[in-house]
Amino acid sequence: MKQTINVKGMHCKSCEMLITDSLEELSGVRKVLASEKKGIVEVEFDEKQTNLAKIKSIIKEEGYKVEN
Amino acid sequence: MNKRIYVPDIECDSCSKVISKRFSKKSGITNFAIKQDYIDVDFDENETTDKEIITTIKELGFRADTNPFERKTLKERVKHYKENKHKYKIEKKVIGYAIGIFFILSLLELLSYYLFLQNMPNFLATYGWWLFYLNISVATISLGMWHVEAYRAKVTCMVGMMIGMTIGMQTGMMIGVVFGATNGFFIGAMVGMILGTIVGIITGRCCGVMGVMEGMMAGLMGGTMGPMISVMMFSDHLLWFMPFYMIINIVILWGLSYMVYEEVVEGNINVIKKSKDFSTLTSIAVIVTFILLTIMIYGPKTSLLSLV
Repeated sequence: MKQTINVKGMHCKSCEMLITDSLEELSGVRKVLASEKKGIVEVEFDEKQTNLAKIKSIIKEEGYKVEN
Repeated sequence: MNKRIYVPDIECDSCSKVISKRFSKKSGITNFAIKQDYIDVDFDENETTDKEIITTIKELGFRADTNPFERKTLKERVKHYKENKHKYKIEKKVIGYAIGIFFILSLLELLSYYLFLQNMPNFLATYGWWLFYLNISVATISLGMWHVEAYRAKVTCMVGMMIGMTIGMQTGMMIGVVFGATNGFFIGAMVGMILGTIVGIITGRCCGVMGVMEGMMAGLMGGTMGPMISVMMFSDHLLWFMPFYMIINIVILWGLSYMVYEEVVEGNINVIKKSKDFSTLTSIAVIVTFILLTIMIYGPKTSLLSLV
């Protein structure tokens, strides 16, 4: 499954890397593409292993705001 | 073993977190403390080396070394330039391209003058000097932008904000002063502000939203200040003031290019050099100048200018 999440608070390349690294640690996440310029995080994941709520909570844990 | 690794590009909480995460996964690192410009690392020599740790940091896009990153003084840089010209191919092009664009713009304007503009009454007296200053402005600003864009690398917010602010501000100031003198404050401010803001956005985006905001604010400020200067000084030796004004503006743009080299390029192995060719740059400069000239000659003018 592929989802695009709107994320507020990213302001540099390190923010993109931080979110990418954190999400890639989560089992079931196949691909992460974070864009500070667009304010989005594109995540490709296996629904059987993880879910969108879990992914969003990880982004929040890193200090970013997830928009619905 | 304890080592201090210098990382001058750490500038926010996210940078520290990214490095911390990577270090926590790396075997051999027993302890570390991330400071503003450096990281003190304790590691087990049997499991890893300082070179490996430096590579890990570099993989994240940061510059890293066990020696502090020393900046060359201007004198040392000039000496280095003279002795290693092959290393400064892009910088060598800047001067040649700027002169080339200035002459191409001047030639096209001269051609337009002999073809149809000479029929306009008092054309040279009204616009002569201002076309000269417009060409200087377009040539130097476009080369300032070209130089910044020629290097693709991770740019810190501080550097990106400086880039957006300087080029946005100087664009507004240089173009605004010309239009303030030929068309008055309203058109001068509109042209200077819009162009300054656009240039500020284009150049400031290298570091993200902070650079864009800084570029926009500088474009707005420079674009309104430039025409203010020419309108206020119109009857008080404006043409004597202009050479000094332009020289200082050019020095500021040159200073920015120098800063970009020192802060972004020097010692950065991750920098990608990808500059636009001369024909593309000239085409953009010619189109922009053509639009500006049309506004200058056929756009509205303040009635105040006819009183002076």
